[in-house]
Amino acid sequence: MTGRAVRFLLRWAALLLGIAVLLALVTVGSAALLGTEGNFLAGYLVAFPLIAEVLFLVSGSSMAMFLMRLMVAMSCPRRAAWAGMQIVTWLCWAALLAISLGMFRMARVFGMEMLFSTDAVFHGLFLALAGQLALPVGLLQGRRAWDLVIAAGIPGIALTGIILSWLWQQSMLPIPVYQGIQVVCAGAVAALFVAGRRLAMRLAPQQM
Amino acid sequence: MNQKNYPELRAEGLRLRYGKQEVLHGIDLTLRPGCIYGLVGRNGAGKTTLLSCLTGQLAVSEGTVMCGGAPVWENAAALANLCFSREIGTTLGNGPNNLKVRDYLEAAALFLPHWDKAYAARLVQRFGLDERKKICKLSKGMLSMVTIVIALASRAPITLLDEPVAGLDVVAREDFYKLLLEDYTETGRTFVISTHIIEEAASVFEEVILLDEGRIREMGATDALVGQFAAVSGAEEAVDAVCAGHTVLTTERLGRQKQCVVRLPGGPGALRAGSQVDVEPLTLQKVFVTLCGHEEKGGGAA
Repeated sequence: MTGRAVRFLLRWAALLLGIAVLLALVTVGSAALLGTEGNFLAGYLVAFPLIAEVLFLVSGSSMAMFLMRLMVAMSCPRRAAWAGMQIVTWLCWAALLAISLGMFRMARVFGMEMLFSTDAVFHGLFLALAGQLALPVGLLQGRRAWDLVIAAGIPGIALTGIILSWLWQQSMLPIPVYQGIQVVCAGAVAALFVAGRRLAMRLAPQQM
Repeated sequence: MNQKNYPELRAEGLRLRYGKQEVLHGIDLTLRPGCIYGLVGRNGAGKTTLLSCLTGQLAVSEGTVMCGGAPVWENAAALANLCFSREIGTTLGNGPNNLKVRDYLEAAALFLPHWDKAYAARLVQRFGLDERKKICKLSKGMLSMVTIVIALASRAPITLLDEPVAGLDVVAREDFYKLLLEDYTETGRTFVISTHIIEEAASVFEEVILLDEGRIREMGATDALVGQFAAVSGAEEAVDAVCAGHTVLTTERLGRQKQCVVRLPGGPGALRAGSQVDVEPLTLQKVFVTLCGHEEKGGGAA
């Protein structure tokens, strides 16, 4: 059943990754064709990780909100639906990370200014945080307090990522602090994973 | 009837609480294979909640639900025997449900192991549904049709439908009952249908489950249950004399005339013969109103 859940969710993932790839191609293509001088979009090629995080949060929470309920309403066990959702989420994570790192490399080739840290671990952790926050938030969507969490969570994660990346780029963040942030981030990913699973196990669809 | 080795669905001591409020109060229920059950109850009686618990879509607070001897909760093998076709929402979160009819049918084909694709296609054609249409653009009747297609084409040994005829016009309702009986004759699988349009469905239900405020008030063969009730009307003294010693459920007076609904476990023959009163059988709907109306109960000549 997990395999079926993965198959079912891959369409959503394909849509998400399609948008991400399209944005990446437009940005890189624009930089290649127009050059990086005075080209706003290409100049901020490095903003792509931010787009990836926002995309992941928004689409991930929508996915969890209705596809998980639909699977359970269609007699799919919660465990299988949740496992399918996690597999697809981590597949998206890997793909978005690969695209983002590719974009970093492209940015260097085109000699563009860097807004984000090129640290794969750091960016990967923030992307994982976006993915793991999206699922429980999606499951709780519709409850007023949690709608606020969605509204605050998306810019919150994105802005934190930007600020920390910038501080790191400017050598203003001591290495122990930077590493400490990564540990906190990893802990948050694990906590959100557990919280999301607990919520998924209590899920009760009201409709199909 | 081609009745295979279909499992039975059994609930024991089923209780469900939301916080301190208990909405299902110790339900014991056995759904035997090859039977069409009607689940009737007033709004808020707990019909959808009960169906959700029976199909493992809602965690019970106490009790067990077993399908073919195996627990239903998070059990893929047991869930494979069940299909709970319920209302389809036209909204998702804060926006419209932009999934298409085709998306729902594809999801059903993926997750319901007995899915009959050819039958689903025939049903879609028969109902005149456009598979490319978005769910948010469908009328209430069309939404009901989609749930019916999913329920019937699921070919699940135990299929539960939550108010499948809500929003359907009378022609479509007749068509649904015809399709249901055709499918039942062909497969002999178990159906549980919750509905508020009792009179139309009464002839289809072999057994009826009457749910009242989270409890099963009555459960049994529809004819046998309905046959236990009679309306006795006539002059007040005559009605009182005839009803004496029997369970009077409701009483209505109009001048010197009186009408009582009595419960006669032995059938109307249990009333004294030759009495100067009219004795009329009740319909299932009248029985339901009498038992669940919660008005002027037990008054009269018992």
